[in-house]
Amino acid sequence: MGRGAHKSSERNQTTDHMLAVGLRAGGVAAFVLVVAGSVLEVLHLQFARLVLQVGILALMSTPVLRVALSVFAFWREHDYKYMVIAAAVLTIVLLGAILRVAV
Amino acid sequence: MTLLLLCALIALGLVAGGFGALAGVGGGFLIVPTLILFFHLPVHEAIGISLVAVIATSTATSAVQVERGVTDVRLGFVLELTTTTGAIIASLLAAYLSKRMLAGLFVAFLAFTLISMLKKAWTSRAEKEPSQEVPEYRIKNYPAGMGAALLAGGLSGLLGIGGGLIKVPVMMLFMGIPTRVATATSNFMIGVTAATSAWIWYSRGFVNLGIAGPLVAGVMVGSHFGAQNARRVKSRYIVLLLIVAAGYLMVQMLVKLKSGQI
Repeated sequence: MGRGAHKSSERNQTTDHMLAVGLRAGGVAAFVLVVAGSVLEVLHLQFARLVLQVGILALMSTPVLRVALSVFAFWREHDYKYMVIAAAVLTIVLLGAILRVAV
Repeated sequence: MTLLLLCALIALGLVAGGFGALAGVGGGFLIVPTLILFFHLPVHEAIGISLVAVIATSTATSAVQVERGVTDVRLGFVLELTTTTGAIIASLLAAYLSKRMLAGLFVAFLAFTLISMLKKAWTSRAEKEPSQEVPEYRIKNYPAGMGAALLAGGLSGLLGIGGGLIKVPVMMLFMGIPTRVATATSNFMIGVTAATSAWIWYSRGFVNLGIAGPLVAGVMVGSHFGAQNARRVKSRYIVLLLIVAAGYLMVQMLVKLKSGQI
């Protein structure tokens, strides 16, 4: 945590740390897959599209996963107000995918 | 896919991600018109791919910013309630809009981007080193922020951009949030908003994997290094460079629209 932090209470630090780790893990996984897929694609090798697809889907899932992680983090901090807000955001995001099937 | 196309896409990603993160703006406004004008992609495909690139920018930059503690995660979640709602409405609507309509809206957005960046370049003239300390602040006027977030989310889902240029000024002017916190919080939100839209655009078949892959790889590297060096580089020159690029792309898009090529 940088010295410039405006709210450096401990509970914020745990949430921030969890979020940063979650973002990084998802990002790195997506990056590796996307690079591998692009190389395979140029070499016209099999599975190129599949690897690219998994990579792009991993990237698209990272923010959703992060919201889910936040719901858990707020619950652990007994910050129920923000737990509900984060859960509502997660519901809206997932609703989009469901509505798409219907509309 | 040819090696040349691969390199061109990676380069576009590096430039849009890198300069975008250095200047504190997303790269979406560069990616969409470039894909249309120089890679000859259909308008809807360009927007779908750009949404994935926007997620990549947000993921790469906000990991750095959340760790530095400048992101107001709680404020971000409150505003995400409306950005995601706007994103869903706009994304569902976009498939029914013509390519000319979307391209026209995009030109209008480029004009807005141009004005915002000109203002930024003008006000940063006299600015000295940005201070490293974030001042104490008290959040006010949630309704204004949530309204702006709804609009930003809608534009994001419709045009494949991040929407930071709408959220950041409103957070600063109406909600009393310091610049750095507003920028970092906006970046943090953009990933969730763009992901909401991207899932819808992807399921409609507008995300070409062969194009999106190399572009995303470039964007992630570019914006990671951009975010790390943002405080060391004078952003004014980068903003000026982006103004020229946005102006050029806007004129080219207008020419194509007028001649009926879009």
